[in-house]
Amino acid sequence: MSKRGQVTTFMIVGLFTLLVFGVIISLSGEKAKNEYYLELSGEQALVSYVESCLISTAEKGLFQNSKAGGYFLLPEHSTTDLFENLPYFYEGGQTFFPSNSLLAEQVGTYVDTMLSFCLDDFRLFQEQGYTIIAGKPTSQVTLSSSKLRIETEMPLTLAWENQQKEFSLFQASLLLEQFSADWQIAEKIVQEQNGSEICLSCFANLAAENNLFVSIVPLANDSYLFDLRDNDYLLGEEKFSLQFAVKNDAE
Amino acid sequence: MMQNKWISVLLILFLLSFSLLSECPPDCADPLTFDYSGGDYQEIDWSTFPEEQWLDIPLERIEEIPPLELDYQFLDTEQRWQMSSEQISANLEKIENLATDVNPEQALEAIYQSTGVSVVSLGERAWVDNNVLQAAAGAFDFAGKSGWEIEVSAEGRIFVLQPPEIKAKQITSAEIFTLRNEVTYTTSTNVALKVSGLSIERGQLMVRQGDTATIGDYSLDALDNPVNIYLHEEKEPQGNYVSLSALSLKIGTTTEGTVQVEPLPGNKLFSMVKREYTQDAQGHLRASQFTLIPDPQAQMTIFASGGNSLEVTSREEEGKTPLLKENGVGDLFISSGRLEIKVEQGNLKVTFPGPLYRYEQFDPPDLSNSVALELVSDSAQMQGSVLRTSSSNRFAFFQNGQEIAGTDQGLEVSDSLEVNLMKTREDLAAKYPKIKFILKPIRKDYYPGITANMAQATDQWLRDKPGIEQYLGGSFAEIRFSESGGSGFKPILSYLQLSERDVDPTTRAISGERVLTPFQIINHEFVHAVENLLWAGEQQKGVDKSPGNLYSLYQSYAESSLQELLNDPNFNSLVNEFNKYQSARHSGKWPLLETTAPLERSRLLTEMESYLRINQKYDLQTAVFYERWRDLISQKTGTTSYVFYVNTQLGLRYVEVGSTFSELPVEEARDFPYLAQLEYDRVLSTNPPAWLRQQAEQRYYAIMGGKEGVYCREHACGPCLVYTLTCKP
Repeated sequence: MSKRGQVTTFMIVGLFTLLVFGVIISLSGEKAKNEYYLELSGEQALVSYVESCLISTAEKGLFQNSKAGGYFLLPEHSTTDLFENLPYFYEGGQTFFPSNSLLAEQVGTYVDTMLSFCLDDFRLFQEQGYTIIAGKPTSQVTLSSSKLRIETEMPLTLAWENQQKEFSLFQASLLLEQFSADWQIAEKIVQEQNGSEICLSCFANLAAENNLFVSIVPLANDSYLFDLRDNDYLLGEEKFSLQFAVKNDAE
Repeated sequence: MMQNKWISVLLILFLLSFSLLSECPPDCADPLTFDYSGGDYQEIDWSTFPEEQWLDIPLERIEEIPPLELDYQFLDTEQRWQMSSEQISANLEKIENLATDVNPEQALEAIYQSTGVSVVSLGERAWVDNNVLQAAAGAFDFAGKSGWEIEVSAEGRIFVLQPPEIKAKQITSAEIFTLRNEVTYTTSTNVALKVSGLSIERGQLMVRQGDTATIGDYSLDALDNPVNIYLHEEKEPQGNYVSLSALSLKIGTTTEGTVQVEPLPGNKLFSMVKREYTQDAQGHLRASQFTLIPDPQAQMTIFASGGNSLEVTSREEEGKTPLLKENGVGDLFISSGRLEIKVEQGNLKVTFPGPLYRYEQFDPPDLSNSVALELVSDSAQMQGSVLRTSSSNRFAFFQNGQEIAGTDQGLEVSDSLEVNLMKTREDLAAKYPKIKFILKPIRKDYYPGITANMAQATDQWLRDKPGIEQYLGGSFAEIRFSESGGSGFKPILSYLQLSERDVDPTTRAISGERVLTPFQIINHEFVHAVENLLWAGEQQKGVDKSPGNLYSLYQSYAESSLQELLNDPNFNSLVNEFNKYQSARHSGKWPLLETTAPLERSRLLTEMESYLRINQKYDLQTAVFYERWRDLISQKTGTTSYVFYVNTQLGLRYVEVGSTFSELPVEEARDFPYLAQLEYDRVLSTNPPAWLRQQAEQRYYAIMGGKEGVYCREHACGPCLVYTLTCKP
């Protein structure tokens, strides 16, 4: 699958199921006619809906968090006076480059915090006469070089007339080729950081191969802001942007 | 009779011959009995003067010895010290140390008498051998040097102080000296250069270790080793060297060596110059009549070491900045304005320009200009890489032709000499004679002139906008520059104020202001200029208070949007929940829903948004609040709560409605067709120049989805639909 279409496939599956489900309901006008089918379709539609939300929120989380160095909430070692503060990946001679597991954890936090915006109180389902009671989500995210997997525990009850169905575990995954490549370049930049010097040739070929532009803005306190902008990796019309700061050792 | 005369003559000659042939003339003094203290020294026959008698000559009478008769070797130390300049002159090459063995004052005079060369000092040791003045670390051939002035230093170096003009052919291969003062040196290829500190050692020009030399428009520091200099020569350079010609500079080092070269303001190869214009009778600058003078703000240092070599080639004929090619061996360091570039073990490292100042109230801004160039390398790591710098502390880094890093922000980094020569207010004034460019420093002593970055940003923004002056005050069009503070457009007076802070990406970043590029800032202010001209047109037509005037449309839009927002249950619930959350945390609250005064409400909105924006990165719940806030505000405004900013000076106007909308990209602006229409109508109401009309039309139809698009098929579409008072299709 193309790296550009990571979200859409999942979204389409979920929305298509929901659409079919909605069309059947609206055409028949009698839910009882095909209880078994509707029950099955409603269940599938709900799971697809939640999972498509997991995918879209996770991908939004990847994009949003990357604009803050992979963090949803900034860590202790961060800038403090900027319009948009950023974590230091290097400060006081120490490297604070986030591990894959930390990035995954932060995406999980993002998803748990922001999932409700996508679920939108299950309004689509409520309008079809379903009652849905959802608990708080708790997500486990794993990141490998090419894939993000998310498992979300969220107690969820789908109730319709006298029937009720319980759900708790939702899973989804998306491909991440470009995401990993961009983070590898960021790591290379931090590794090659030496005082106030930025080694441009150290990442030149990688950046060119990945159609990346590295914007570098120095600050007054011997720090640099980096913004790696990927011209090929898009979420809607938004380019992927990986931003972080490095603070040089006091001279 | 005649015969007698001849006999007399012969007799006299006969008698005289006795006196000539005798050992001593009749009045000759006997050296053994001669009274050396009181006697007449003219009586002494020096040709037979016994060697043991020389020491009998008292000190005060040494000077009476005929110079050519004085036998230097038989005088003692004190006697030698009494020698006159003439005596020294006659014995010049016999004196082992002219600085101490004889009276040095007399020695200096003696050298002058015999060579025509003035010697200011002989240092601690100097002697003459084969007409060459020798010292511990120098040699100076007197031949053909009459009128020169030299000095021997305590360390034995010979410095040439005069004449002001020296030709290579006057110098022999025996010589080792240094041209201390500035002289015009004419090379063997007949090129004249101003030099100082330059040494010549046995035919090789060089800068001696520890010396600083100025050669033409270069300064060279031989920090760790001597540096050979080649001036306009075909000769293959050797060792640590600098080879200069009008169109190139070559630097080379040995594996242990270093070379430091500083091109100086005025340097043509590196275009470290600026334009000085002539004026016409009205005091206007003539754009095409200028001379290039040194740019004192341009700074550059090149330091090569460890086997590095660098070749700089002029591309002036192509209208391009110079090309620097280095060999990828050892290290190369280039400091250029606020930029530092290093090629170390084949890798390119850059230290980026820091802010103009750290604290704007206290620090003088760093107004230095960089040097425009392109750097390539033979190193394996830099294959396909090009580093381009501008004269304005910007850079762009290309890999295989693709720009992968740089100053960015839309600020061009050009390899054009012409673009990089745009450096001053005068350059702008000469290019845009209908606009006055005025310096308005906050601190005069900190800001004597604009930076090249400001000049080039202003030029880049103005160059495709003919007729723009009508928006900047018409016949009094004006752009003002300051070193700090903010940029803005001043209504009524109609001038654009540009701050160095806002066009320098780094300085802008530390200001904590909104993240906008320099051109986003200028374009935002330009919207205010368009509004101002439109307002003036309304006043002229007497419709500025009529229903439908521009600011009344802004006001009704802002107030209805704001009212919608405040009436939105989700927004109410957000504000209430947030205030409750804040109370529980004993943090600040925002009584937004209880406030009706527009000014206060505008302040609270901006403050609350700012609080949420900052704290969403530290608190999960605040992150949720901020997400909800952004959803709601952008639904209503497309941007931020700055739309609701109220200007008190202009009678509580919502002045930012148009300018903030103009910042929205087309795809985001699509949700706001009313504002898009207003934006288009606004421009058309000012009798816009062609470029602005075209720009406004293109954006309008892009937002609307094209003339034949869905929106325009289903809605009224085209010019002058929302704002009609002064709008002309």
